[in-house]
Amino acid sequence: MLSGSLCLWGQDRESDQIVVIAHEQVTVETLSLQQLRDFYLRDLMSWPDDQTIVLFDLKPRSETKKIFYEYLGKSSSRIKSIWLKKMLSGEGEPPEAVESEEAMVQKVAETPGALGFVRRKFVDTAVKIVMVIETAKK
Amino acid sequence: MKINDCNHLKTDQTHSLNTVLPCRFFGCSLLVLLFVLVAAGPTWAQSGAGPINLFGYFQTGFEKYTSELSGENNRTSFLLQQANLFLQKDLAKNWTAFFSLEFLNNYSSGRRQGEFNLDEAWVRYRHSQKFSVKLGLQIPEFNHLNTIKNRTPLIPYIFRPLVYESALRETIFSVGESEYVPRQAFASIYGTLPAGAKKLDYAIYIGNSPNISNFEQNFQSGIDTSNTIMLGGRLGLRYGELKAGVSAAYDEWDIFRNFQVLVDSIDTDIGTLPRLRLGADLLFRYEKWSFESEYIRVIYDTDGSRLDFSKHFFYGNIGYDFSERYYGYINYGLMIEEPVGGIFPQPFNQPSIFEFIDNTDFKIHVPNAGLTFNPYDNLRFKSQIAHVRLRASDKTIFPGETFLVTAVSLSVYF
Repeated sequence: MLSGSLCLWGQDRESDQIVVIAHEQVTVETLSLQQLRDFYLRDLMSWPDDQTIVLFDLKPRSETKKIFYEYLGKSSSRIKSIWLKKMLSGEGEPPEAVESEEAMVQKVAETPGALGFVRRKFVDTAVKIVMVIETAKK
Repeated sequence: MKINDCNHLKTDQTHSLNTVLPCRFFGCSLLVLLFVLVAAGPTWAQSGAGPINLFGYFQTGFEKYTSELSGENNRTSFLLQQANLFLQKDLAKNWTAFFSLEFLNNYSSGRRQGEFNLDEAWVRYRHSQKFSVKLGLQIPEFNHLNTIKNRTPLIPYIFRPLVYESALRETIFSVGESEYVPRQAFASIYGTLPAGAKKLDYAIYIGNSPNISNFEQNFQSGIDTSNTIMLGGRLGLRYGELKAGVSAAYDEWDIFRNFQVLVDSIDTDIGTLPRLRLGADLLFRYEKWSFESEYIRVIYDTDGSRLDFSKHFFYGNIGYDFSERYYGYINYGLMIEEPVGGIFPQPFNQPSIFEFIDNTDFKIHVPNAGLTFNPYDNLRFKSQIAHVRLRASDKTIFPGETFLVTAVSLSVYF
C-alpha cells in the first residue's frame, strides 16, 4: 500500500514537470539550456538543418510560464523587452502566444519547426520532448 | 591642411535642381505606395514569403521648460513627440524587407512644423546567425542606443541622452546631435559569433558623408555632394547580463559649406574635414538593478591648424525594477565641445556666421531622473525631470543658461 502510494506520488510529480516540446519532424532530439536560450531570445532563428524555428508562448500568467522564464534566467518583462526590440528592428517576431497548454500541444503538433513548453501531463504522441526542465537549475 | 592654403580643396557646390520633386507630391506618393503595399499583400503568394506585418508606436505628452538664469525660453507644450509606422515582409526564405516612416514633434506639412522622415527602407539576407547582409537605408550600429534611440517603447526616456535627442534643438542650438553619431548607412554586414555562453557581435557599414546643402530655403536633393563615403562598425561582447562594445565611424564633412568664414579678413573655402567618431558602450544587469553607459569622442583632422572641434559625450544611467510594472532611473549626461570657433545661427534663414573663439570650451550637464509605469505590455506611462546646465569657460562669450525640464508622456505600440 505504502509503495503504491509512493509510486503514485512520483507519477504526479513527473506529470507536473515542465518539458520543452517540438514538432515530431524536428531533427534535434535534445536541447541544451544555451540552445533553448538562443531560440527564445531570438539569437538563433533556425534549427541546425536550416528549418525555421516557430516559437510558441503561453498567453496567461501561470506557474508553467513563470518556471519556464526563470529557467531561461530572465524575468517576464525582460524577455518581452528583448522580443519587442527584435520586432521593432526587423530582426524577428515574438512567439505566438496561445491560450492554454492544451492549445500549445496542438499548435506545436501541427506546425513544422515548432517549439513550445508545457507540463508533461499535456504531452501526447503528436509532439516530441526535447528537454526536461530541472527547476533547481538556472 | 593649412587654414590659409586651402584653394586646392575647393569643392564643386553645383546642385542640379532638375530632379526636384515638390515635398507634397513626394509625401502623397509615399502614402499611395503604402496603401498599395498593404492592399496587395495577401495576393503575393510566393514560396517562403509571408504576410505583410504592419505595426508601429507613438509617444505623446506634455513638457515644460523653465529657464532659471535668463528667464527667456520659458514654455510649455503638448506634443506628439514621435510616431513610427513599420512594414515588414518575408519576401522568401532568409529574405526580409523592412520599411519605416517617422513623424516627429507635432508633424504637420500644412503648418510646416515637425519632421517627416523616411527612416528605414532595406532588404536583408540572413545567411545564418553569423552573417547577414542588409542593403538600403538603415540606422547604423554605433554604441548601444543609436539603433533604438527612436524606438520609444524600448527606452524609459522622454528626453534621450543629448546626442540622441532632437527635441531640444530649439532651446540648445549648439547641440549638433548628428555630429556625434552616424545617422544613416546604406549597406552593412553583421552577425553574432557564438562562443558558448559568450557572443561576439560585429557590424560593418558604409553610407554617405553628410555633405548636403544647409540652406533651408533651397531644396536639398539629399545627395552627398562630395566624393567621400562614411565607413563604420561596432564590435561587441555579450555574456549573460553583460553587454559591452566599441564603435567607430569615419567620414569627411564639409562643415563650413554655406558658412562665411573670415580668417584674417580673407574669405576661404576650407572644404571637407576628415572626421573620426569613436564610441564605447557598457551595459549590465544584476537582479533588479541595471546600469547603462556610453562615451563618444569626435575628432576632426585639421592638420594642426587653429581649428579644433573635438567633442566629447558621456552618459550613465542606473535603473531599478521596482516591480514588473514600475521602473525608475537616475541619469547623468555630459557634453563637452572644445571649439576654437563657434557657429552662430542668424535669424530669418540667413546663413550662420562662423567666428573664432580662442581658449573656450562649452559644457552641457544634464542630470535627470524618471519613473515609468506599464499597466499593460503595450502601454507605458513615463515621467522625467532634467536639470540642463549650459556653461562656457569664458562667460563673456556665453554667460550660461540653466533649464529645468519636466515632462510626462504616454508611449503606445500596436
